[in-house]
Parts: sequence; structure tokens; C-alpha cells
Amino acid sequence: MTNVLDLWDFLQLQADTLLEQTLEHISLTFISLALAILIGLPVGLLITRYKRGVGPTFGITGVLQTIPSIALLGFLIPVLGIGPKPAIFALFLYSLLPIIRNAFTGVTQVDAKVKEAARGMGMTDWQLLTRVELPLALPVLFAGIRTAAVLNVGVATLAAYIAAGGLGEFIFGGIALNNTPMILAGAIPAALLAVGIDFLLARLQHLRLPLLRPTALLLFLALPLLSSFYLLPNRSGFQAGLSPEFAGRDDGYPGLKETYGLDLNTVIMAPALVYKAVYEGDVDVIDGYSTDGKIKTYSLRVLEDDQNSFPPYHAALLVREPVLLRHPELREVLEMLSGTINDSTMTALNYQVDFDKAAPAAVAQAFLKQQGLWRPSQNGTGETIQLGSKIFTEQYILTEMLSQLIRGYTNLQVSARTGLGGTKICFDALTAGEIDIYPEYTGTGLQVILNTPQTVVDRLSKENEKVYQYVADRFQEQYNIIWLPPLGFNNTYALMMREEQAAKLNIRSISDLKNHLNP
Amino acid sequence: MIRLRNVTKKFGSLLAVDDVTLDVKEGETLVLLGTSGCGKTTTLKLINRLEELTAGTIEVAGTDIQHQKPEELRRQMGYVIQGAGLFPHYTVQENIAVVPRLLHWSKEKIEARTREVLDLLRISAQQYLPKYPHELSGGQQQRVGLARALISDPPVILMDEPFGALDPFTRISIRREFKNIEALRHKTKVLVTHDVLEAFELGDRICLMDDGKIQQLGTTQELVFRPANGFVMRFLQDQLFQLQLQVLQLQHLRPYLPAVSPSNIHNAIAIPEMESVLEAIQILTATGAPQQCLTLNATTAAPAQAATVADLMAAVEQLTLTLRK
Repeated sequence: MTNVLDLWDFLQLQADTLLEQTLEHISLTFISLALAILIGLPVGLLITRYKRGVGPTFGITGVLQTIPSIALLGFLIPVLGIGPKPAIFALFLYSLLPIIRNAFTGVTQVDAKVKEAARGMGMTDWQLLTRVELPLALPVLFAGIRTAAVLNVGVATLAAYIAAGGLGEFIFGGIALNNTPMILAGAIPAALLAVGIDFLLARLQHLRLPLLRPTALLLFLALPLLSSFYLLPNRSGFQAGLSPEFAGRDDGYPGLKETYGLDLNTVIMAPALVYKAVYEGDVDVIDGYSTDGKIKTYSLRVLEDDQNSFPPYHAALLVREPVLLRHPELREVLEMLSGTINDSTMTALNYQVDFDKAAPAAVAQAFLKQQGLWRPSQNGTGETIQLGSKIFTEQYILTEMLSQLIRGYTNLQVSARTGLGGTKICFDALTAGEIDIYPEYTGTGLQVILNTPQTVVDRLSKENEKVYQYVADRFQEQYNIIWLPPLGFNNTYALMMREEQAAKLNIRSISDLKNHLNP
Repeated sequence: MIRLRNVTKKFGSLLAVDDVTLDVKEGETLVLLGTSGCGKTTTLKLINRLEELTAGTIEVAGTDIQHQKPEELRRQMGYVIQGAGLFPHYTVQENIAVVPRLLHWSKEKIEARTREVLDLLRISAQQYLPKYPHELSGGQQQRVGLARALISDPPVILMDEPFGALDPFTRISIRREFKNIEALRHKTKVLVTHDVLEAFELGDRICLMDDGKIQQLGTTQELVFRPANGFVMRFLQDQLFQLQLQVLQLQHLRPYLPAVSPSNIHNAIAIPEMESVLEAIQILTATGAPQQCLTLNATTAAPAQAATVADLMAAVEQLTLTLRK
């Protein structure tokens, strides 16, 4: 019940956006459909005459149908950029198969006797096609168009992945923000649209033949009109490509607006595609995580958050207090890492594992040697220390460093339990004594584990030191868990630009960006 | 009117029509008869180029068909097929108007000519023109198919099993109608069928084919009384007696009938001497009195003659013996 009310509130609040998105959605659907008819129909008819083309045509369109949409959109970015063009092209490709297949089937299933009579009376091939085969194939042909249209309404939600708008913006934004009313605000109109279009086209399809001919013609003429809802927006000036979560979260883009007065020209895209889009120059600034290996892959510059708009997510080691008390030498060893890894170092290490396919152990060892910290294992015989980590590259590398340090400097043994899912699993394992140490981030401790009230967060969040102190105190008090001094890097949200462009415009920080855009 | 010379058609390695030579005379009905797969339909389709020749030549009205565009050639010939092949998305009126529209006739001319043809075929224009094919019975569809072939008044009509899709009863009555259509009488017709009785009823001459070759080409009488080979004999064997009665006309029996003058006979039935013996016997037996006499109504100078069914049968027997010699 509360959901229904929430949904109603959301719809009232976002009515304009919803209307705009619905119109965009309809336009995306029908422009691509019109293109698919324009190309697919002649192809379908052509292969009824040149049967040798049947196999290859259905082969190619069939394969196109199986390409996952996000992959297809990824392929299209280098060629068509972002926005409506690749979205329409992808939808066009997906609707080709039903249209070509039904055009072909419709024509080939026309009674052979009727075709023979037509030719026997002296019709040319063209007359046979236009006066006999095509009119008789119309119902089947129409069924194909109907299938393609309904398919398109569904697939068009994916347009939101590459900044082409449509109802997918609400759907994917809602999923990213865990906001059910927002998801429904996109999903329900999309479903209604699909059902409505299906119903209308079904009515047309079952019209008697003599009525169908003029109606089909009319509809075909109406297609460009339906499509014209969508004025293809031209890329204007400086463009930002944001993931739905970043665009919606209070500590994301809305926070930037408030802190810096930054007003970006934004488009919404799938997180998986933003890096590629900025690399290809389709957008100029994107959001991401400050230690992501892709920053290096795509030669991006992370803009400094000089006014601390993003909450600090400083990495530090969490250790159970009893373990430190039993083994005082351990604290000293673990603190060797404190302050040694800055953002770009962590990014580089992530890059080596993610893109150079190096083993985390090798990367960790190389780093320790470079720091002059590495020592061969003492093959200790003491107590076994249990290390834990979440499932991502950065944590694997950190765990490797710890285990190598402990083995090199102490008589303790080490066992690593990597890949413990998310925050909750790691932390529960730590409090239960299943593991003794794992790397955590201050922001996560503050928001996720302690569930700190918003007023406190607001008071703290601008200052790294205060956040660290706050979580360290609370953790020791409530859980007997010690936050060791931060490792040095801050894996938080970040704005990034192409290095080349940032250098040319001399933009280093978000303030620089703001001044560049709105002097 | 139509000349086929050494016509051969191969489908891959299959020889469908093997060195066929024949002429169709102006105004006659030539029947291509044979079992399915004998090459009769392919031969027909070679004439309007629905199939292309492998070897040989075909001339229609003195012109080699290879020198004409297939579409233009076809527009000069009526084409009637099994099940009529009407266009399901056209009304009867539109179906009939297909060829005239291909020939760019004026609307008025098409309308006038449509009524003319429907009158000839005794089809009610008002009732049928606005209907769609699926609203018509098989026989009605076939009539419309015929009207469609006749509307442009082509000198040649090709027919491929035109009555094949009809039930036996309708088939016989439509066949009879067909024979009596005045508009068809002077056309050159080529008709394909596998039905022996239909062939002998409608054909002036019959071309019996097997395995792509002509087995015998001749008049109906020639086929019945002088079969060219064992195949022809076997092919006609089952219906031989009926065929004999059908191909013989009353006038042929004159010399073998008793010389009785009809003026002496009470309530005799008058039948023209051109009528087939089969028809005459059917009429006589239908009256229920086997001793009933009929009168041969002379169209020639010969005097009228009267006979009973028994007289006719005896005369047929004698004549057959003579013809077989």
C-alpha cells in the first residue's frame, strides 16, 4: 500500500519527465521500426525472388538477434557514439528479423495456383508482386511488424544505457538506487505501451483485406509523424555521462551541484559504458570510482574533489582487538602499509591485475619490494591469522600484501579467505571471529555498518579525519574492533575527464571544471 | 494456329516432354490426355511460356513465341486452371477485370465487356460481381475463371484440368454448359485432362501422351477404332464400349438400321442425326419404354429414319466390326 502511495507521489512529482520519456520511448520504437520496414521489407521480398539469399539473410539476422543488447551498444559507441543514433540502430537491427522473415513467409505462402493464374494472365513479375503477392501477404507481414514493434518497446528501455532517454531511465535509475516507485514509474508505462501497441496493431491485422490495404498505407505514412516526437538532440558543448546511481544519490551529482554550484549538461548511461563513451569523446566528463583500473586503461584524469563533496571512503584495515592484544608485534607489521598507497598507486595496481592479467600475489610482491618492505617468508609455526576480503580486485591485492608481510616479519601463520561477498558478510565474519583482519572503507563503516543518522553524517562527512575518528571510536566501543591508520587511498566517487582534454583546458579539480563551465 | 515442332523440355535430368510435334487447328479443341506425370501440363505451359523450352520451336498465329515477351504472349491467350485460381483479395468484378486492366482498357470498355461475357456465360452480374471468391461455390468459381479468360476475347484458350476440382455431378453439368457456350465455339482451345470421358466429350482431337511422348494424336473416332499401339488400347479399355457409343453419331448408323419411315410410327421422338449414339440411347431409355422409337431428323438430304434401342445396338455392333477391319 505504501508503495502505491509512493508511486503516486513520484508520478505527480515527475509527470513532466514521465511524459517526455514516454514520447522519447515511442519515438525510439517507431523510428527504428520505420527503418526496419524500409530496409527489411525489400530484403524480405527480394529473397523470395533470389532464393540463394535466403540462408545468408536469415543467418545474419538470426545472429544479430542473439547479440546481448549491452554488448551491441558497446560495439556501436566507437562508430555511432552515444545518444539516439546507436539506440535506434540497435533497435533497427533487432526488429529486422521478424520483418524480413514474415515478409518472406507471407509472400512464399501465397497459393501457388493463384500465382500461376496471375502469371498465366500476363502479369509481369512486378505486377504479380504488387497486385497479388503483397496484398495477400499483408496479414503475415503485419504480424511481423507487430512482433517487431512490441519487441522494440521492450528493448527500447535499454536506450537509457547510452543516453538516448526513454522509460529505461526510470527503470535503471530505480534499480541502481533501490527505489521501487521509480522502477515502477518506468516499467508500468513501458508495459502499457507494449500492450497498447500490440492491441492496436492486432486490430489492424484482423481488418478485412480490402480495408487493410488503405490502412497499411496510412500507417506507413503516419510512421514518420509518430517518429517526429523525437527531435534528435545535437551534442552541444561540454557533455557529462553519468551512471544512474551517481545521478540520483544525494552524495553523487546532487551533492556536487550543491557544493560547487556545478551545472553539467548530463546524459544518463550504463556504468559499464561510461568509460568507453568518454574515451571515444562522446562525453567529456564521467563518474566512476577513484581507484578503478579503467582510469589507466582509458588515460583518464581524476578531478580532485577540492571541496570534499564526495564522502570519504578511505581504505584501512579492520582488526579484532583480542588478536592485537595477543600479538603486539602484529600491529607494527600491519601499520607498515599505512599511508603507503595513494589513489594513483592503487589504480595502477588494479590495472595490472584487471588488464595486464597479472596475479594479485605477484603484483603485491612487486609493490612491497619497490617499497623496500618485502622479506621472504619465515615459515612460521605460531598461531594462524585469518585474513578476509570482499570480491573485487583491490581487496585481493591488499590481502596478498598483508599475508606476505605477516609471513615475512612474524612467526605467525596466515590463511586467507578471499571472496567473502559484500560488506555485511565480511563484517559478520569478523565479529564472529571467523576472520581476524579485512580491508574496509570509512564511508562504508559510517553509512552501512553503523547506520549513522543523517544529521551526524552531514556534520562529519566533509572531513576525512573526523569520519575516521568517529568510526574508529564507535567500532572499538561497540564491537572491540580496531581501525588501523588509513592506507592512504580514497576509493570514492570521482569525476574524470580524458587526460588530454583536461590538460588542454588546464582542469585539475572540480572547482576548475566549474570555473571553466560557469565562470 | 498453334504449331509445336520437336518440342523438348527437361527438368534437370528428367525428360518431361520428349520431341513433341503437333498442330492445333484454328477453332478446334485439342485435348492433351494422359496420366499425371505424362507431360501434358508441361506441354500446355510451354505454349504460354510458363515453362521455357529446352529444344524445338512453338509458333502461335505464325509467330515464334520466343520472339515475344512472355507477358504479352500470355495476354493474348486465355488461361483457365484447376480450381479457377481466382484472386482471393479481389471481388468477382475485379477478378474478371485483371487482364483488361493489364491491357489498359478504359473503365467503360471493361464494364461493358464484363456484362457481355457474363451474359454469354449466363451469370447474373448483379448477384455475383460484388462477391469475393470464397463466397462462391466451386462451380461458380470455375465459371468466373472462364469469364476472366474470355473477357479480352483471346483467339486461343489454354485450359489445365479446368473441371478437376469439382465434384462429379457439378463437373458433368458444367462440362455440358461449357460445350454449348457460343463464345467458345470459334476459339482455338487446348485442354489438359486425365479424365478419359471428359476428353472424348469435349475434344475434337485427342493427343494421348505417356512418358513425355505422343502415343497417338487423332480424332476421337480414330483413337477408339484405330488405336495406334498397345498403350492406347490399354488406356481406353475400361471405358471402350461407352466411348464407342459416344464417338459414333446417329448418322454413321444409317446404313445399318432397318429402313422404317417415321411417318408410320406413333409418338416417335425426334433427334438430330449429329447426336451421339450414347446420347440417343440415354434419351430413349429415360422415357422408360425400351421399344420406343426415335426419328433421325435429317439435316442432310437423306430421308428421316426410325429405330429402337435394340436397332441401334445391333447397328453399332456391325459398324464396329467394319471399322476395326
